[in-house]
Amino acid sequence: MSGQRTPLPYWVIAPFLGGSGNLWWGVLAWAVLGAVLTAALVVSRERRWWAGALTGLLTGGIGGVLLLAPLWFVLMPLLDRRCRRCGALSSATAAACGRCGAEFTERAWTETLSALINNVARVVLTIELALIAGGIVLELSGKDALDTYRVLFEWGLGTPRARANSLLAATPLILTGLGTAIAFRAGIFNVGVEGSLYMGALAAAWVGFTFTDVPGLLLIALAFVVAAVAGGLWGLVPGYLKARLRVDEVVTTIMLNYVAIEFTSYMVQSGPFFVPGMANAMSKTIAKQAQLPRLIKGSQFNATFFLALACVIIVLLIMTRTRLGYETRLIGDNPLFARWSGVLVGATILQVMFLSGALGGLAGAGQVLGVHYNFTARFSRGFGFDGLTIALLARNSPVGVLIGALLFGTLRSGGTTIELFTDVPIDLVDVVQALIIFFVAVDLNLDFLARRRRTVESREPVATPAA
Amino acid sequence: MTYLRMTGITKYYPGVVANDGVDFEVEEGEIHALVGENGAGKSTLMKILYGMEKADAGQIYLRGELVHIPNPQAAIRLGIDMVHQHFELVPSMTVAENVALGHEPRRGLFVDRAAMIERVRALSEQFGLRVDPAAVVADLSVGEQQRVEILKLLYRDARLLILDEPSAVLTPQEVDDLFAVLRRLVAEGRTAILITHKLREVMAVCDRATVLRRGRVVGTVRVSETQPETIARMMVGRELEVVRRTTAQPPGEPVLVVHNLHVRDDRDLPAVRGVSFTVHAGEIVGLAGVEGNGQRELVDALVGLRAVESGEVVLAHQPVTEAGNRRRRALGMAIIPEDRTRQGLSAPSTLTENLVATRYHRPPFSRGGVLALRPMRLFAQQAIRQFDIRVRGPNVRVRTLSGGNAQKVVVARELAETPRVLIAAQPTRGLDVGATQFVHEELLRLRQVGTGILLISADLDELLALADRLLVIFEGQLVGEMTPETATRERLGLLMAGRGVAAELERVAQG
Repeated sequence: MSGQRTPLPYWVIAPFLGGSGNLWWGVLAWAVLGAVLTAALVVSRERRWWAGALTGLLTGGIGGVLLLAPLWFVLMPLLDRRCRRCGALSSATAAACGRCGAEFTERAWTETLSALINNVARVVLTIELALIAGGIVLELSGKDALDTYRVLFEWGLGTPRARANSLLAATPLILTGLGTAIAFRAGIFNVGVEGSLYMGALAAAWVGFTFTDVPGLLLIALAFVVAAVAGGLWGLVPGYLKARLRVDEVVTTIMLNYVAIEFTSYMVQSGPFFVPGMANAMSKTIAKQAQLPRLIKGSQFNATFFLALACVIIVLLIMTRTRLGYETRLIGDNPLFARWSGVLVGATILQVMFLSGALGGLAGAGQVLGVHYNFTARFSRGFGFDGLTIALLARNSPVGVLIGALLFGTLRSGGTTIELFTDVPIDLVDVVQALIIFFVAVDLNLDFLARRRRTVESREPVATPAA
Repeated sequence: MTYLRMTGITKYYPGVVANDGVDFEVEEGEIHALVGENGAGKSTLMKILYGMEKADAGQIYLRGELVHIPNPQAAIRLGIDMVHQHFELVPSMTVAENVALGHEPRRGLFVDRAAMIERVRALSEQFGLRVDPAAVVADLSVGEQQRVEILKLLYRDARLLILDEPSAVLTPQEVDDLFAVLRRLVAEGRTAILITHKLREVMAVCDRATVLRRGRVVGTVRVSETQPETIARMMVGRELEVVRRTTAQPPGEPVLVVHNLHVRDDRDLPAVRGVSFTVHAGEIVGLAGVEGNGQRELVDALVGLRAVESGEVVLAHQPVTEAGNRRRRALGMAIIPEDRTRQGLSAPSTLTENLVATRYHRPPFSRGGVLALRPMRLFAQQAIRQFDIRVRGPNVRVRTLSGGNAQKVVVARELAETPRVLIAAQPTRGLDVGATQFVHEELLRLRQVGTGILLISADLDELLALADRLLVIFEGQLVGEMTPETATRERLGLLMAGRGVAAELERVAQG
């Protein structure tokens, strides 16, 4: 390495790559980088640049060291040569540590940048904080936290098969997360994606075992479409009640979840889809050509994941480039203003709720067509509710949902193995998840502080900024 | 003798200097006006004096002694007290209870109710603050509530009273009453600071005035030796011409006809009770009235956001009584809403998103459900130029704009395409002199090109300067109609207060 000509002296880069041999150097280097980035963001905003730089350096540096150190020591031995990736993760963390500074950034060019950093960094940071807190819980109860996490991540990321399983676990979460996020963005607190998921799954199974003569691709497409419509229509019920009768959607969607779960169970337990002689409450198996092939040996990973990826892009485009997306954002930001501007608020709510439910329906269909090959009563392990957590975590940004879902998926699929290899119960994953929700709430509080500061400013409004 | 001296007061907010080395002196026993445009730093300076904000630099001297004021409690102990723009009263308690709150006279463990009421009554008589100590605050008019606030200060024995925009919510008669009270206060040896941007009040009641502009003191003048124009010039830093309607023009065809309109408010009580009027093309119809007399519900109904109980609305020859907001806008209605921050703008959204909110659904801004971002940006850039909105670019969040600039965004959106009818509700509330002038000029420009304008305002000067015809609303009914030539402030004030209704009705019937 020393013989090669590099644009920077090797000793500058080495710590970032984890190549210096000393882990502490790596931690320190990334913390300093995060601090400098933070300082730059703060400086662009603060009038007294040196004060901003100092604050940024301090928060970024201290935060970086404090938060990175444990993670670094956990991940380094595990990922070994993949330090580059690890470094990227850490730099996001370090930048996130000073995000209070970035939060105040209002200048146009830095705003886009800081929004991007914030979005990604917040998701990563929140999960890291939860992992650290979970580690403390483990240590306090006399378990080996480092070892537990090593197992968790090895079985979540260590081999191609493990990675495929993580993606598989992430697939329904991406879709339910998107579905929840799109409703949240419109200011509709839709808790009912779980219900849509069940309705969609049942519809997909029905298509799959009824139209057995239809050729493969067509049948699969038909099943997804019917599932989306079924989930969407299910979402329309609370949507209509809210738009026309102003019934609170939180109550109706929670109740309708139970209706959907019980209704679909009835359908396979004793209703029309009941299969005599079957011990479990499940429908007939879907037609062979409707079963999505498994793409990785030893894993149920299937093409639904790519459908979910496409949905991320589609939702992103809908939100930024279409009339519906504009209306959704406007209603979410200020419903009163939307009404005064002539936006047809009721119609928008209906469309958003249909979309939200449709995404839930797709998630259900993906489980039926790609995993179970039939409809099993109560098959969902709270995919809809995980989606809700992810949407909160990602603050309704589609890309944030993708990242959040991938991390959740990793935890879920890695978590199933920790009971096998350690004496830690699988509930650890739930603990971590609860901690994530906790830290999301903390994060909202930070945001509240920022808002407060803003109101103080706006009460004595800024003298005209330079044109 | 100098009572209060603030020297070198400096206060930074992120990205802005709110006070920049401000020196401010108030003499004992005077009424001192603190004037300046929005954002000039008046409120910040007073918040520092009242202990609500900490100055980054500077000292405060009271009677020549250096004092330290870390919080409002400390200020109150020093005899400095403040009436805020938004009253801080408990609506369900009586006047006396509100006044004595926290400092109740006690007998043993219990509040000495009789003594409390007696003390409040004595204060109220001493200073001419007419209000019944036993009345419940929720039942009082806004003017009376303000008197309760002042009583509260006197009860705590304030020597220096700060009043933040006290006249904003009052009728002209109530303002006169307030001024009488202020004169009585200073006659008793107390001192008052009046935050305002209304020159009329400065001239009427103040001894001296200090003008702030962009966080600095422009100067302190003795009011009796100064012309109002001089103070206005100091406030804005340039000459201001008074905007008023110059040419009489014959009204065109009727563009907005309201017939016998009845509307109920949120509590399902009648708020608008049989209102009829017509707005013609090229005419400004002013609607005067004290707030809360049905203006809000009338506007809601006119723009299609509140169901009408009975009656008719005809817009550009089309019956629209049942139509929604979008349909009315399609027929050429534009709206400057009363509540700029909630109804008129979306603070978290960008400037562009705010500017296209009423037209995003039609070409060239969207086709087939897909937004056309480029036409939107071009439209925003043009609006920024045409209406002189001072921002860095079209992607700035509206939250970051100052009050005057934000109102320019509303005006730009609503007036970009010449509307047939404009409903302008309190379009200059809270705006400084420069921004007010801008809005007035825009209204007159529209009148010139044939827009019919309904101007709802609490500011009589504005109505008298701009309107071709004046209507007065009181408790949901129109109680008078006149031309600005025949209107006087006194007559309007009486009608707005509901006095002389019968006499006025008679006059209308005759004339």
